[in-house]
Amino acid sequence: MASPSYPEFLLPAFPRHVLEQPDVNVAVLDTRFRLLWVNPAWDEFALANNGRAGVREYPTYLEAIQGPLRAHFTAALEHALGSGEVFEQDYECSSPDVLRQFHMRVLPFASQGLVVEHTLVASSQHEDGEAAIERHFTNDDGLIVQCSNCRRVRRLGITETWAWVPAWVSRSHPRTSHGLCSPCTRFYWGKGRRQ
Amino acid sequence: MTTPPMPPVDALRILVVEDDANSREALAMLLSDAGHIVEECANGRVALSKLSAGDYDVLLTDLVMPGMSGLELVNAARASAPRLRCVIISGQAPIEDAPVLWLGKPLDVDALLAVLVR
Repeated sequence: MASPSYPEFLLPAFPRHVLEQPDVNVAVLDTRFRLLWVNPAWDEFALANNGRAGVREYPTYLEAIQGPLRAHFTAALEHALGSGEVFEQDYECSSPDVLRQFHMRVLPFASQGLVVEHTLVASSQHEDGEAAIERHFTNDDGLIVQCSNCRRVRRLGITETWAWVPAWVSRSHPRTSHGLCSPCTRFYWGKGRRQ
Repeated sequence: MTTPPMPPVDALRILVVEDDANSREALAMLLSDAGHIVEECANGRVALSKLSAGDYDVLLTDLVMPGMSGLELVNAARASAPRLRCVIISGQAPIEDAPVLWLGKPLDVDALLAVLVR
């Protein structure tokens, strides 16, 4: 089967070689979020992680996103397309053996479509798989703190950071304490935190 | 000198037990705004101390907390105060046959306020 042609609306700003970087997974979407084109890194990553390569394997980009995250990314893509604003987000996408952090960027092209980039920011191999991931999120009390609204989990560290761990979005870790992250607290409780 | 406003006649004295500061403070603020008298703490040990020293109508507790779980707290609290109304607020699925009212997270505020006026 012939590979899909490179979307013309990206030219001349984005010649093909710009989006064929080996370390960035790129998908080009139309205004209904159907996959028009993906770069070789996208296919390689999909095949290496039990996914399916090629733009015809998924009806839309959102098909590859499971569970409650799909609504979030649907809203993000719609907002980027409608407003013309770039959407950016860091997220966790780890396998049982590898801890990975990605940066996602969505570039809107007026009424023609979107370029979605997923850049690997950090990756480390762990011999003991998910247990190693847990160490990044388990507090001194042995609990993992998860936002009950957006399902992100709190990463240990000096600053307050929250990340999505796909395995714990639809299935909470057995030792999860549910709370609220600061953005959700501010957004859903209106008045913000009491001082 | 100004006199603090009197709480409404049907105000309840509520103890909120929640280890997550964001959730605890937001819940306490909500209940205070609704006219209830609210105290808060972050774990079951402190909660039992407060319960033994005070007279509360309602215990609102998280389930998964450091040390004592919310269910253990409810059982311990009821041993000394059988008439205490207890509500567990948790992101976990309800435990089958748990002898306590169970509300999910994220919290449905209207459902909570409805429970309190019963």
